Order: sequence, then structure tokens, then C-alpha cells
Amino acid sequence: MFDDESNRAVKAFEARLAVLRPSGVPSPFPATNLAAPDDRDAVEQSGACRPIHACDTAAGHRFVCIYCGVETTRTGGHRWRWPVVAAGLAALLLLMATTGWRSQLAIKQLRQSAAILVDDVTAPGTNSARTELTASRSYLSLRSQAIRDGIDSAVLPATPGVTPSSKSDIPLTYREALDRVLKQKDSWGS
Amino acid sequence: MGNLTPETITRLWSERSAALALYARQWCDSPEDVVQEAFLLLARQALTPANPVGWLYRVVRNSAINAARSGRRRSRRETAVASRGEPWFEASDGVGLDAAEAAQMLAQLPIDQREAIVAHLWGGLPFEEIGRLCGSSAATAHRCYRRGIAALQERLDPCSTTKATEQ
Repeated sequence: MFDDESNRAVKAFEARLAVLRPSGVPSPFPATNLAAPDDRDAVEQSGACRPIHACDTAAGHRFVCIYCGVETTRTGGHRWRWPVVAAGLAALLLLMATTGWRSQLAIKQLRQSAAILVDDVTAPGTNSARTELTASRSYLSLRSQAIRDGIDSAVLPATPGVTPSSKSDIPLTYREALDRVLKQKDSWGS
Repeated sequence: MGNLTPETITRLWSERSAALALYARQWCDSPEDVVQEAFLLLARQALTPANPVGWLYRVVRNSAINAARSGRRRSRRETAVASRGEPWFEASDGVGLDAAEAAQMLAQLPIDQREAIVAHLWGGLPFEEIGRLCGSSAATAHRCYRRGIAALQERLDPCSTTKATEQ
């Protein structure tokens, strides 16, 4: 009897207490809550992330992408901050430097070296032993660089035509090897 | 489990935000921020939590405790200004208990009792869930709740306590 009465009194008190309503909180999704239907359509059509509306008491309302947290425009366009843009550009430059850009520079250098090499060797009256030695070194240097750049070493003769017993063979051998290198490089560039 | 739809988040907000703010208020002086951040975090979840309400209470609890810790590092003046803050309950219409007095009495209870009362009475959480939040058993959560209610009743409604005791 005592327990029943006591429980009833507790229940009644709980009910009175529960009537009190906790103070409300300003919604981070005001007005129509999340993006308005027309905004949502625009966002879906644009293929951008869906923005949500966040309350910022200092600067009014702001939209935030619900997927990546970046602040967006009303229709979901991302407002990238400059550090993000800078980081993206740096990554892009790094990628270019390690692949395409570096390859383009290498091709340019190779073309210049090839021109000098071929000119030196084929220039009439300049096929002295010194010139041959220089040409051979240049060739080996060029070959090493080409291998470092990923050219298949099989396409490059290990030595530039051995001894220049047949003078016409040497420039031809150089030319042939260099042409193959350059063709391969060009195909990369494209 | 997919993403939460905007409608679900909206519904959760309208049904739960005020109780969550009251829950956060048990630890910190910036419950609105805590609750808003929790909902933004929920909206960003790639996978919907199995129990979004329990998830929200967990996040709000952790954030509120963190906010309280960082709040303690502020100067005494700032804390005093912040603590004047918002009322815990909307003004009562005269039929029920006095809102300000109830808030004051509630604030005087130990934190485990306050937490159990707020989570159960206004948050609608079962005691098993409250136990999980507090890192205790459902029975312990229930005991805390009972003690807290009894203490509140004694302070806010002494007549009913006396009557029940007399009978």
C-alpha cells in the first residue's frame, strides 16, 4: 500500500517534471531545413556535393558540404580556401615534374645533344681521334640518361659502332640509335 | 546502411535537439555549439550509425565533456559570464513546476543522477542506453535516476513526499 502510494507520487512528479520543455537550440538547418527543394535540384543537376546550411552567428548562415566539410555556395559549389588550392597546385606541379614535364625536358636535352653529337661526328674533316672520343663519351652519357629515363637498353647499342673503321657507319649508328630514342620519347610525350 | 536523408536529419533535429542541448548543458556552457556540431558530424557520416539517437548522445556527451575541459582553461571571468547563459527550460505556463527552480535544483544534483534524469526523462533513452553512455549497467543507471528523482521531489514537491510517507 505504502509502495503503491509512493510510486504513484513519484510517477506524478515525473510527469510534472517531464512537462518542462528544454530550451530550444538554433538549428544549423534553418528555414526549409537543409537545402531548399529548388536548391537541391540545382545541386543534383550540377553533380556537386549536397550542401547543408550551418548557422554561423558571427557571419550569418553558411553552407557546408556534408561529404567533405568544405564551405560551399548555396548551390553546392565548393569554396576552396587558398591553402587547399596551393596544396593542390603543388601536388600538380610535383606530378608534372616527375612525369610529363621531366620527360619533355629530357627530350629537349636529348635533341640538343643528338644534334651536337651528329654534327660533330659528321662534320667533314673533324673526325679526329679526339672528336671520336668525345662523341663516344657523349653517346655513352646520352645512353645512360636515356636508360635512366626508362628507354629500353636493348634499343641502344652498348658502344657507338666500335672502331670507326667505316666512317660512314658511325654517324649512321648514332643517328639510328638516337632516332629510336627520340621516337620512343615522342610517343611518351603524346 | 546508406547516408542519412535530409528529412531524417531534420526529424532528428526537431525531435531531439532540445533534449540533447539540455543533456550537454550538464557539463558545458555552450550546449548549442555542441549539439549543432554533433548534427553536422552526423550529416557528414559516410555510413549511417546503427542507432543515430544513441550515436548523437554519445557524441554530445564526449563533446560537452571536452568543451567543459577547455572551458576550465578560460579565465574565471569568462566562465562566470558564460555560466549566466541561457535558461535550461522554457518558461513554465504555471500549471507545472517552476522552470527556473527546477533547473536550479537539477543543477545541484550529482552529475550521474542529473545525466540519468535528463537522458531518460527528456531524452527518452532506455536505461540500457544510459548505462552504455555512462559506462555502467542499466541497473546502476536506474538507481541513479531513482535517487535523483527522489531528491528532486523532496526539494521541489515536498508535500507529495510527505503525504506518501504519512500514508
